[in-house]
Amino acid sequence: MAQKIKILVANRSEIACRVFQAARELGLVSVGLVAPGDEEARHVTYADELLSVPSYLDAEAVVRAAVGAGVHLVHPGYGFLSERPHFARLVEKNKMIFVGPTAETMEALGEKIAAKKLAEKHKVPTLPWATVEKGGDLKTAAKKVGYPLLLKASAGGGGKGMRVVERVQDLEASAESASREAQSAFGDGTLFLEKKVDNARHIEVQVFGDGTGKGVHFFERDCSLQRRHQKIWEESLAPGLGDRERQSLCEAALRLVTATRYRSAGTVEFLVDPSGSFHFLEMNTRLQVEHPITEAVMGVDLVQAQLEHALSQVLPPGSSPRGHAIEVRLCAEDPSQNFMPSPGHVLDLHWPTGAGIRVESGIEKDQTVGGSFDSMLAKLIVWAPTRLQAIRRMKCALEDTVILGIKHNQEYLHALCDAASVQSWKVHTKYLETEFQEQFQAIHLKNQATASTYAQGAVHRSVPSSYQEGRSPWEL
Amino acid sequence: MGAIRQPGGWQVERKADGTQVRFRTHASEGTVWVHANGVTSAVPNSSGGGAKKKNRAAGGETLEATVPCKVTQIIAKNGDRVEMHQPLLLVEAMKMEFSIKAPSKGIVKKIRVAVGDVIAPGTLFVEFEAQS
Repeated sequence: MAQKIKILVANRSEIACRVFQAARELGLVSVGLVAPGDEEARHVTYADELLSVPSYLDAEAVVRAAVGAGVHLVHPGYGFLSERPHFARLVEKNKMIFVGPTAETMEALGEKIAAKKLAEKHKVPTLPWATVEKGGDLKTAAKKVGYPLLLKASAGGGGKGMRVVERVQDLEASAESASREAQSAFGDGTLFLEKKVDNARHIEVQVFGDGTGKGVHFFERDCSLQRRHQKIWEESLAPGLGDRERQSLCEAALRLVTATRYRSAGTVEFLVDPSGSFHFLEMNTRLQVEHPITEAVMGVDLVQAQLEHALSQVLPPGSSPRGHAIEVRLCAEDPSQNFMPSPGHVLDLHWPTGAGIRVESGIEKDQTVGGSFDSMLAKLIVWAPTRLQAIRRMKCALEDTVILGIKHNQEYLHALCDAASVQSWKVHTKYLETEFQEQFQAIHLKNQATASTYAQGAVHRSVPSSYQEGRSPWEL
Repeated sequence: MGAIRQPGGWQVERKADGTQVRFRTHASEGTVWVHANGVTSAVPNSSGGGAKKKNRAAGGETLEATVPCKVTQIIAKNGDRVEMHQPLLLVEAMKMEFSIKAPSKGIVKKIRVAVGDVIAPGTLFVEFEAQS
C-alpha cells in the first residue's frame, strides 16, 4: 500500500477543523497543533495526530514538529503564520508542500506596502498612502496623505494594529498603540498610512491561481459590516453591485493573479466609495475567514481545491453564482460594553440545524475559552435562493444558536437581521459604530428585561419541579 | 410559570392561549445565562449571593479587571488628576488592546499593576478617588 499523505494544519480553532474536514474527505491524515492555553479547544481532538508547540507563531518549532511527524503538506489557515514568507520558505526548504502561494508572491502581495506598489503598476486604482519609516517624520507623511487617515499594520489583517487618526494631535499615541498591537498579533510592528474614505463599502474578490499566470475568480463578497475594523457579517454576492462594476472589479483582481503568477486561493480587497469607484486595499494571500459564503454561492469547495492543487496542480473550474449567502462571526465579546473581550466557560452549547445552515465551530460544551487567543468562537453561514430569504434564514439560525456561559454577540447579530439599513443594504464600513450602536442598545435593554423574567424562573427551577407532582408535564 | 423540561436542554413554557415558548437557562456564580425569545442574555444573579459585584461589568470604565488580561502600557502616574474617561492604562485580552479609563473626574491614588502583568478577573488595577 502506498504511504498515506499527511497534512499539518498550522492553525487552531474553527479553521483548523475546516481544513481537517477537507483532509479527511480526501483521505489524507490530518495533523493538528496545540499551544499552551489552548488545550481545551475543539480542534485539539479533531485531528488524527496532534503536535505540541510553544506558540502557533513559532515558525521554527512548527516546522520542526512537522518534519518529526513526517508531514507532506502544510496548510497555514488564516492569521498566525499564513502570510509569513519566512514560514512558507522554511516549509519548502524542509521538502514539504506549502498549501498557498510562494514566499516570493507573499512578499510582493501579502506585505501591504509592496502590494500597493504592484497594484499601481498594473493599473489597479489605490487610495493616497505613505509609508511610516522607522525614525522618519510621521507628521510629514501624514500631511501628504491628508486627514482623516488610517494607520495600518503592513503585516496586518483582520483589523489588528489599525487605528483611525482624525487629527495630528492623536497621531503619535495611535501609532505607538497600533504598532504594539501589530507586533503582538503578527510579530511585526511596521505601519503605513492610508487616506480614510467615508461611507465606503468593503468588497473583495475571491481568486484562485495555478502558479503559472492562469487563474479563475469566484466573484465577490461584501464585508462592509465591521466593528473595530473587523468583519462580523459578510455576504456573497455583493448586494446592489452593477454588472459593469462587478466585471471591472473581478478583472482587476485577475490582473494581479496573472502579474504575480499567483498560486492557490487568494482574495483581493477593494474599498468602494459612495460614487461607486473602487480602490485596491490589499491582497490576502491565504484562505479567508469568510470563504464559506463563496463556497455556498459558487458551488466550489475552496479548501479541497487548495489541497488538490497542491497535490496535482489542477485549477478548480470556474462556475456561475446561484442564490445568496450570508456569514456571521460569533465572538466572545460584549456588544453592550464596547465589544469588551469576554473569555469564560461554555456551560451550554446548542447549534442550529436545518435547511441551508452551516456551522463552523471552534468550541465545545464545557470548554474554557481563554484570554490568549482571538475572540471568534464560531461562524454561522446560511444559503437561500434570494437575499431576503437568506436574511430571514440567518435570523432563524441565530435564534437556535445557544452559547451560555460566555458573553458574546449573538443578540447583536440577531438585531442586525432586523435592521432596516441592513435589509436595504444602506450600509458602509462605519455603519455599526455610528448608526447601529444606539439602535442596538435600545434593543438590548428590552431583551434584558425579558431575560430577567426567565432568569427568575431559573433560580426556582434549580431543583427541577415539573416532574415532582407525579403528573404528566404536558398537563397545564 | 410552569416550564417543562425537554430533552436536549430545552425548557418549554406553555401559555394560557395555547402557544408555547422554548428557552434555556443556566445559572452560574453571579450570572444567570438565558436564551429566550431567540436571544442570549446574561442576567446578574442577585439572589445567588455572588460576591464582587461592586464596580463589576462596567466594560472599559471599571478599575477592576472583569476578564483575564495582560497589562501593555501604564499611561497615568500616581497622584495624577484626571478627567472622566481619561485612559489610565492599556491592557490586552483575546489579542485586542483596550484602555482602562477613569470612571469619573478624580485622583489616581496608586497604580497597582505593572507592564507585563497577567491579571485575573477581580484584580484592582488602580486605587482611584473620585472627585465631584
